Amino acid sequence: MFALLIVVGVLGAWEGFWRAQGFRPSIEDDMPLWHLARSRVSKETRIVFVGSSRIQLGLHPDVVTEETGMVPVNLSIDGNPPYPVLKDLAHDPDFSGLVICSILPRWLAEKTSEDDRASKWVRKYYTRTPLSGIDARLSLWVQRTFVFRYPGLGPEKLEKQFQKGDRPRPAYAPMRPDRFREARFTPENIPKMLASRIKLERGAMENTEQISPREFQERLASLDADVQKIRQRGGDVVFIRMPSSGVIRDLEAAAWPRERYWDVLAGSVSATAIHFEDYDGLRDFQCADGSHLDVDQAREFTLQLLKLLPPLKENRE
Amino acid sequence: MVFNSLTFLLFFGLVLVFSRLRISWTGKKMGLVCFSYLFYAAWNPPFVILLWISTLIDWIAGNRIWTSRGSFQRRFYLILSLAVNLGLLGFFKYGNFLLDNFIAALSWFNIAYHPLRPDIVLPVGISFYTFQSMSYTIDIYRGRMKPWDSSVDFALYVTFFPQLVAGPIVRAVDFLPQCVVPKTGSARQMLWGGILLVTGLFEKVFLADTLLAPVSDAVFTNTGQTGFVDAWMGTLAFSAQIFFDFAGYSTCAVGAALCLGFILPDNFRFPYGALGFSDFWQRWHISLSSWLRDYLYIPLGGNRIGSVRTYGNLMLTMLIGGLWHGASWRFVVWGGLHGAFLVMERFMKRKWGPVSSGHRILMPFILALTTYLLIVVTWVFFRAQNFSEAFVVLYQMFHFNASGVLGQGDIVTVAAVSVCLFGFHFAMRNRSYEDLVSGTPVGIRAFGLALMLIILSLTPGDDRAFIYFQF
Repeated sequence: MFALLIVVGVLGAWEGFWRAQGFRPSIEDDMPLWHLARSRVSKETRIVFVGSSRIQLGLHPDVVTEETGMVPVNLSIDGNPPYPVLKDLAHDPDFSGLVICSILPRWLAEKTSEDDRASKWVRKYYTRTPLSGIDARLSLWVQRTFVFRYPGLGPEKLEKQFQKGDRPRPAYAPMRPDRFREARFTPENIPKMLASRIKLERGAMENTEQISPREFQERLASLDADVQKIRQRGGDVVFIRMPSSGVIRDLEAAAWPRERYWDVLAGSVSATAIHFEDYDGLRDFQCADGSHLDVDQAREFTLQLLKLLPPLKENRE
Repeated sequence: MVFNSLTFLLFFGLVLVFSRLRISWTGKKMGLVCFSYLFYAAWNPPFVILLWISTLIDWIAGNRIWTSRGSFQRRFYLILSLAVNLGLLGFFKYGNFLLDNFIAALSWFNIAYHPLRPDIVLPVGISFYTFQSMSYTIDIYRGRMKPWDSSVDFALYVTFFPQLVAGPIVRAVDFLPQCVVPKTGSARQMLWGGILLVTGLFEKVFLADTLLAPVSDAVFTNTGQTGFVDAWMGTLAFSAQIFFDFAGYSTCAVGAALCLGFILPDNFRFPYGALGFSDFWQRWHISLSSWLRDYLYIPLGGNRIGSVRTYGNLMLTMLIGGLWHGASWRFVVWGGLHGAFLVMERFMKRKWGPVSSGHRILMPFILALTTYLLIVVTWVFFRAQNFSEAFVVLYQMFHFNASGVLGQGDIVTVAAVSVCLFGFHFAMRNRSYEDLVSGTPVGIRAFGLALMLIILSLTPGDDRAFIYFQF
């Protein structure tokens, strides 16, 4: 009993301390949560977002719901190519909705691996246990309720931060249960985030293994086959190049030129391909970290994008 | 369902409430059997059928062995039990391994054979419950016990959820008599069981998964870029990880059973403080090593038929013990290394006698440290994904190369955990965890328990399964 009193007292104080520091409950972007989202894809699902963090932060699901009455499912996976998830949806006989698939320039050029997170999460979705959904929901409830379960405040993460001389700060893009991340950049976090983004992009340019022209053609053919499968069931796919700006955009343009990758994709697949540079409403967004939209920009961007999607317009009418 | 999940917390709460209901003891035991099936079905519902097969066949075989008069009939039912249990194990666990080796053997003779590779999913815990169930029929065959008269008790023995998927492998003679008298965990048992559950979860969630697994993963997935320090730290990290992972599971199992009033045997007794390999195997996965001793090593002749046969029996037992861990030659090599060390130890003891214990601390310390380091080296084959990865790590462990992937923080963490783990096991090797806890003042005990609970509450954990689930 004494031990339980200590536990309740310490956890209460811990919770209060971090709340006073501005932390609010947030959710870990992990496989069980993704599986929960994936299990929501059914015959009734009309819109699914696929891609990486750019679409996770850049397409606002509330705007889609307000404008179309549909609730999108977000299956994007941070830092991972969209191919395994798109293929999975293409092979799901129940799914006949619209996939908005974000493709970064580097994903078109880079070798992918069966060991990446996206492939693993898709694979494990089919071997998940019957109770995994209940466990994910329970875990979600705990994370939404208590700050002490905040993903960055675990003992080992705190220890690593203190080793680096950093102070824990609330995440700039906390996760919502629907897997949308509301990014709020502040003047304090922008320089550090931009620097780390540039480092990341340079690392990707230097270290990733590029595919050969033949493999690139095979990749496009595989993407088109996935598009065809979804279309045969009455669904559709829209590929989108989400905005980047400043140094990041320059680096991307230098490493993976649009003419060599994106334009070839747009010309090869039977799906609509939207590049942000080609549309008035999409081209002027300035990303604070060079790579991601903040929550207000995400609202505006989503609104502008919806105007370019004919099937949804029809539905709205 | 795993112990380190919120669903288990709910499930166990329900079981505890059920165990306190005012219903008959038989009703409670039937309820526990149903809860155990539910626990197992949480992984893959159809595999419950395998549990039913094992239970039914061994129940029938046990009774028939006892009632049959002729030795042929008795032997027939024993073989039936072994064939069904080992058949299930062979098909689900070793099917693909056998096929791969068959194909490889044919290719030696330039015969190309490309059969369809069956997509076999390994039922969790099959190595544990088949061994447990088989020991019942073997014991009856040997006349060590009579068939039990209650099929509900026997079903509970095979399926009792705390030990169902990763042991300890309980003997019928130890478990079934506990089913006679009605049981509800007493306040003391609940308290001690709760302490064991929290300790086991702390070992698994914080020490194994959070502190150590990322380091061993970083080393064993980047073997091309690692150096001398990394290789040692990665292997030491895995040595501690597998202990905390498996001992954590066993501690949870013993604790959960105790909360319900059942006593399961200890599976670990401070193994890294062992003085030699034979001592190690009396401390590590005790329920498996004693199973192999009683049902394999001794029937092979044990140490009763000359030293050469003894060495052979030891090697064979350890090779099979290695293969029990997984369908891969790496596990066979791991078992073979332990067998070789056991043979060498036995040979040295015969030639020069036991190590002099002239110095009470120093000699045992040197012996324990040597044993620990050799055990650490053997874990390389257990952790590596293939032989080439294992040989790269071994090469790096014995050739100085300054390159590395681990940060200073990781190195300090692993070094500190390894020194503490070895020192603690060495100091505790003649005591038990219960001795330690009961000899500690109540205030410190409460503080320690609270600290573990707080760290557990703050640690997000991950989706890492218990390592021994794959066996």
